[in-house]
Amino acid sequence: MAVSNLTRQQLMWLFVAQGTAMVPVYFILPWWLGIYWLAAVFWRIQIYRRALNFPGIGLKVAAIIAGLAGLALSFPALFSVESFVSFFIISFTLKLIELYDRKDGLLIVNVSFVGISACFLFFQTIFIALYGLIALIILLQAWIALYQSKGVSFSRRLRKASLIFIQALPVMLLLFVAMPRLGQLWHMPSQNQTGVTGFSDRMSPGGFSNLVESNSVAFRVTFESGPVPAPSQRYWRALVLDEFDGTSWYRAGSWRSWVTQRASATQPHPSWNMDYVDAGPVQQYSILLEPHRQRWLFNLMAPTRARSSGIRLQFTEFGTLSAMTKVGSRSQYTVYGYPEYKYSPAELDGFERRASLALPPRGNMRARQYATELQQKYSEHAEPVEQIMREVLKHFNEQFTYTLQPSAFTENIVDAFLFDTQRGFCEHFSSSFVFLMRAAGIPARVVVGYQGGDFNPVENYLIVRQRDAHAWAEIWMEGEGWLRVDPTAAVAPSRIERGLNQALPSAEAALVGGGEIGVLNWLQLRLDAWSYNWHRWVLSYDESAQNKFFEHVLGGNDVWRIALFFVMSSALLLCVYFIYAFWPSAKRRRYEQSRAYARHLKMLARFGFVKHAGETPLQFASRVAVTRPDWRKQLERIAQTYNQIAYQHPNESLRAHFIALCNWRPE
Amino acid sequence: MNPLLSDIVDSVGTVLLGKEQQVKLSLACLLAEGHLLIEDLPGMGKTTLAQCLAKVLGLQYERVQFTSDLLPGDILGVSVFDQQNASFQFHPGPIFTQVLLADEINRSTPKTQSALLEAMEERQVTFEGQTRALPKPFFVIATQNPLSQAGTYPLPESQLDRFLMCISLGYPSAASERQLLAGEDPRNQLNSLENVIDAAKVMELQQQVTSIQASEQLLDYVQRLVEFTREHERFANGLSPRGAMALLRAARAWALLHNRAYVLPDDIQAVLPSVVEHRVHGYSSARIHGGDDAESLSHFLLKSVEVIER
Repeated sequence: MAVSNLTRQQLMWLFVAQGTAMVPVYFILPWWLGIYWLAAVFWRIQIYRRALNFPGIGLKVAAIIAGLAGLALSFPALFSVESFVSFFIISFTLKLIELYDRKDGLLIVNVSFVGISACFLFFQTIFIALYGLIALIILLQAWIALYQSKGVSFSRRLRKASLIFIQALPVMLLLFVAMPRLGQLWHMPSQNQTGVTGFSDRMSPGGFSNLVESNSVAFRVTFESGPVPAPSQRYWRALVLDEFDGTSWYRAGSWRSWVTQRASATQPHPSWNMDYVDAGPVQQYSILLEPHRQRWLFNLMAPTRARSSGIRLQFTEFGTLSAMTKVGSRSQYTVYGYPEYKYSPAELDGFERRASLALPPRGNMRARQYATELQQKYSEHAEPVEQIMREVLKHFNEQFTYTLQPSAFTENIVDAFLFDTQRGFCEHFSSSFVFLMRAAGIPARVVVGYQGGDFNPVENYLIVRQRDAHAWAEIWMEGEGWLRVDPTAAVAPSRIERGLNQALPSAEAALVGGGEIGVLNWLQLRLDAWSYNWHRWVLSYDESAQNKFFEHVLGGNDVWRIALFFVMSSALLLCVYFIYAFWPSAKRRRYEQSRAYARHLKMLARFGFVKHAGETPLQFASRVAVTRPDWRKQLERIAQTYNQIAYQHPNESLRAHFIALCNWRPE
Repeated sequence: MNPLLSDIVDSVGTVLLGKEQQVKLSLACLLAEGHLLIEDLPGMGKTTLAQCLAKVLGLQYERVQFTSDLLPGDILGVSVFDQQNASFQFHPGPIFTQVLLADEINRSTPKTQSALLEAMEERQVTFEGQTRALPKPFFVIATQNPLSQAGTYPLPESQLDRFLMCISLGYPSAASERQLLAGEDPRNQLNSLENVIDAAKVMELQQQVTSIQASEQLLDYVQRLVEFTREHERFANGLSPRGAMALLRAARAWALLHNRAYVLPDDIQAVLPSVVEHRVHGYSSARIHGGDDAESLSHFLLKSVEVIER
């Protein structure tokens, strides 16, 4: 029976090291990988207990085939980050059952370091980074354990590992700051879409009420110049929906989107015909977007330009911002704009006018009739559009209830909402409002996005969550252009002014969460601020940020400056380590006689006589005396006096005598 | 050297030629109230050393030859039924002596070995519920054949740990051997050996050993040594606290032997191989590759550990 000479403690810490390195990815990868690992651990423990043997070649091949088969079943598309990491984990797991001696143990520890970095493929939060740091200490500790006999306490090893870790930390920071940034590892294609919440590009009944129960963050905004807009002005546009099929609103996709090109976000889109009312300084804000795996982005009205180092931005013809490809990782972009504007005030081109008036041929007859009545009522009026809008909103305000739990309808949903239940949510209000406007001959469309956001006073930014998802309307008025109309605001102004849970009846407010109190709320804001800063300063530290840093600190980003900075900092660090490790600091010696004796040794070292670690003073003295018999007397007296003070009794006068003796210099 | 102890060493040296270092170690071991294990081939003078020591120190001496059929009773003693008193009478075994030579201890079965070793540790014998103290001083010299020989039961580590020192005598030098061959038969010489001191003096010396001073700096050195064995990769197991205490105790005796009232690192270094080598071992795979036997480990240990704080 093959016997391994790893102790129980070493084995245990190897398991812990491996587990620590891989636990985070088990949450992402197929569930059976964890079981696979546990089985390998179990087997290795049985080998330790001599209940099982190390597996033969046949069993090993079987285990590999089982693992590969599992991979093939779990990953229909075989080439993705997940499948590669899973393959890595399978091979790494199997190493356990051929873990014979220290050499294999070292391999496990070393690969565990790679394992930790693999976690960053899936998670990039500050918490996983902290976890990674702690895992590093655990791995170092396991590494040390491989070299120690049993019985050395864990806390002792932990202290040693922490020391190594602390010594490594400055090097880590230096490498992070100065090494060329090779793109981000986590910008790799991933199949994983689960767990991403957000609205879709179709607004159907019930779509939003799921979202508002989610507290997860959609994006965070920092206002870099200009004031933070009032809550009622925080309309984050994402999509404009202009086609209605009787149930859902959606983008009129088809060939039109090919014709109406998106345009680069370096200047306003040519088809907007935007009149910016230059009311003060430009509004500039950065948005840190959580990955939503969609192309649309979020902005306030009215943008003039936008830039980003991570994603390629475009303006659409609807005054929204869009990415060239789906956003699969946390990304940051900056938008410039003016809050006062007139959007396409002069005229609406025929195409757009038709699209903004189109209604399904049948259905919702009562709503159509109501709209026609309104249209006739105000046909003689000076400002019919405004009057109709006012009347509808007034009607909403007087008759309707804002609730998260409306009744579900299947047919003629606009009619059912407007005339029967009169209870609904932003999607019902906006949808019915736009329907009525169109039926009354006013160009109108639905806009979806987020409304509001919580201000985080800790770091002065806005957090916009999924529960802030909102839908509103835009109507077009001659001379005014596209105007934002929020029918929900007419019903529940507090939704807009103060946020969702203020607007809901108290029984429903619990659904949305949110209303935390005091300390918890503060803690949540604090944590969010950390994670926000983590992203802004660490994760988005890319090539341009690095260049900016170098320009700021070194006055330029020429190669020689960076190289010099790198070399000098490394040298400085090495100096600090050297001083720490080898400086025979007077303070670190506990005994005065040792200090004096060290002077003596230093003097002798200049003559080429260096005391070996294991030599006693007497042995050293006689060794030197072999070469220099003339020094014998003095050397022996020093050694003997040292022995007397150090090992017999530390007599004060003798010590003074000894210190004087140590000042002896041979001629 | 302490003149009295020097006399003892010289006196043993007249019979056991050219083994001054080993004699001194054995004496130090005895003075430190430890037991001695001598590991060597047959005929190297193990028995002679034990006999000489007992004789010179004026101690009572018994010898037990260990064999595979030796039973605990053969060492500790037996109860025999006395018909006149109609009761059991305890007949003490050879262990009730001051110097016991357990010859070839690894030839007997573990059961018998452990009977002896318990007595060594406790310095008393419990027999049929009654505890009997052993005479003082009590000193066991066990000899052991190298384990490669047939018919041996190697002592387990826990039992080896009970011996303060483990030494081996080795072949004599050519000159000593010549003197041995040319001279009188050592057995006769042994008879003519006079005792230098007596049991009371031995106990007094043992008492003196405990009062030898070990300074803070010396304890630092001992701790550095012990820690090194626990932390360094070449040691499969580190020294136990008992091992550390044994090291210090032996060094104290060594200091007394050199007529010093305090321990020097030199004392530690002198006794370290014989105290440490039977308590540590390297990795088995390394041993096969010609690497770490206990001797090279103790050498490495002495070489690597700073004597004086850096």
